[in-house]
Amino acid sequence: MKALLGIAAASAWNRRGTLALVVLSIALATALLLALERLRTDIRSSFSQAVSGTDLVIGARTGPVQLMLYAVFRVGGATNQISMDGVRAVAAHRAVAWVVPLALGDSHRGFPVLGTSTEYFQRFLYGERQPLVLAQGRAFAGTLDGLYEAVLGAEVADALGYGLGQRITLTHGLEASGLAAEHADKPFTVVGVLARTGTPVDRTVHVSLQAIEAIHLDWAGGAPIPGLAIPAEAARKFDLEPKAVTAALVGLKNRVAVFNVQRFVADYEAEPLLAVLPGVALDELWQAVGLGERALLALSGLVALVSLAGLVAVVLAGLNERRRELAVLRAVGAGPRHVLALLALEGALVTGAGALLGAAAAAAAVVATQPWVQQSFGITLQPGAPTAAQWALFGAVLAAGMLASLVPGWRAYRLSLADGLSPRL
Amino acid sequence: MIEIRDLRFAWPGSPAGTLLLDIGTLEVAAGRSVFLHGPSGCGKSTLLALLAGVLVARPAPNAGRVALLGQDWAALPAARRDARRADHVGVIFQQFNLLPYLSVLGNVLLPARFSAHRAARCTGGPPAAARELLERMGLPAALHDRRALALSVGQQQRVAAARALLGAPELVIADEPTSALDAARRDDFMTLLLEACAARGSTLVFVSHDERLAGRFDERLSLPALNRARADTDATATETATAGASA
Repeated sequence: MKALLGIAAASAWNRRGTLALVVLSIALATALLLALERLRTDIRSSFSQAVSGTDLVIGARTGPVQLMLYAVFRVGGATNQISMDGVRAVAAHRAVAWVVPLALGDSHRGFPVLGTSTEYFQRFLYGERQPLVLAQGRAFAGTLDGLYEAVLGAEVADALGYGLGQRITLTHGLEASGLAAEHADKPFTVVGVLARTGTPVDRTVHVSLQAIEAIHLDWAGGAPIPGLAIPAEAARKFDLEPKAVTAALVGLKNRVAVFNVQRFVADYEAEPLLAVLPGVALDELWQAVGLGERALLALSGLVALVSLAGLVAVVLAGLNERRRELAVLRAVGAGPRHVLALLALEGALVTGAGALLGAAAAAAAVVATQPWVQQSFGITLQPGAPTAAQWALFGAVLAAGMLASLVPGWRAYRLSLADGLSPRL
Repeated sequence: MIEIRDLRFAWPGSPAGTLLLDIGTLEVAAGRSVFLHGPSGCGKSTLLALLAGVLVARPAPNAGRVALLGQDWAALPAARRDARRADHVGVIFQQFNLLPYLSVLGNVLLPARFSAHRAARCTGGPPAAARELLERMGLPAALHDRRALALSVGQQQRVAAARALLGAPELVIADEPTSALDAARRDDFMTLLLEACAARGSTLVFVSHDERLAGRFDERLSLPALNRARADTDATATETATAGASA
């Protein structure tokens, strides 16, 4: 077998021009499979790590998945707001321990801005019930004196190179293009930077609810009111208590009451509200996404099959020209089984090279796109060791390649049995 | 050395009763050089494949004994025949003898890859023996590491001869190895091949339709004279031949 391996490698190298294309197509298919699997795993872990310790998320009536997406993952936007009266009513429920309102809709250079209460920094938990930790500085004060203070997520600070004391202005809406109107008249000062969490918090600029009110005092319908300009200092004299927010996180005294509170929110008469259990909404999300995932994986599997079919076709097509080569091998003592092994080894080498190249490409793609994916989607890609599923996919490509290589191997076996020492061409 | 008794061989699928080869007795002693001639299609290549154990005169109606060094090929399973061929037989084809993706040296070393026996018989190890054989065949060291196909046809045939002789196999089979060579190169090649076989004590069975070469061999055999079967497809002729063979 060792004798054959050298010959198979030399033979494959001799036809490297054609086989390189096959290697490339196998590499692409493998990279697609592995990268997709990595993305799938990391999206799931990112989402399930994003919030914990929150029993209910409430917002305007919409789909549970949509509410989770915009309130927790900062994906998409809210169609409607909820009134602070509604939030206060929920907070007053005897089973409710705490409520943290969330006001979304502004951004800073593409990063979402979250208006919230100071309680957020104590109540919000992620991963395995880990609290937020300030890497530098402090939380915003939540007072009138500290009205224009901001706390940055780790990714925002890293990506924009901001530190404590940095002055920033907020943009109305989520546009990063620069076309959206700026709240340039009311700049904020960075007073704290959070430690990295691997959740959407990293991409968020945190300010107080009052600050969100203040920067919108002289705005209506998404644009500054012409002729009305309230300077930053003067804004402090207005009533800055928010009238409406986007959503709210709710913690209960006892989780047993969760369905009671959920029904209470759903039956709230003053306005249509929705309360979702984060875990249930995520399950719903995976159900919806799972179908697409499986379809993508199946498609990548098909791509892999097509590239292996290409391998079989290329090796088979070259076989007729190699009948003399097989006769020479027979003459020096190779049996038909050696010929079969030679062709199968050649296919295995090509598949192996393609699969390894693909794995390297997938790893490189993950490393290369990691900052962008983190920044754009808040999903932390793990460029580390392959997951069990990735190993399984890699193994499946190799096994399928070796199996496919038996086809030309078997054909060569038949040919060399029939030809003996004199190929009939 | 070589012993054929009552060999009857037909390719599978040929009409019943038509034989390609029907040879009563053929013996070649060790160390002899034999010139085997006959027209195209008379079964020379098939006979060589039988001598090399690539084909066996089985199953029925194929029958008879084709033995090398006292061992009937047909008595061995296929894998043992391949191993035995690697150990004891060297083959030179008419042309296209070399694997295009190996170097000249790599081609000569092929038998040593498949046969530990042949490798062990190389004095000084296979690479040294291969280089010595190549030098003897008139191929200087500068050519040894070239790609096989970079050589001229005449040089390629000499590489093939060196490969067939590596590890001094008991039998060297050559199937019209000179037909692609011009007269001068043919004579050079014949001299080198015959000398090398004689030096190693290898029996040489050399097939050609070019009878001008016959004079340089110890023995001269005519396959049509040996073969009681008629290779042509003429029904009456075949019947006569078969009737004659069975009588």
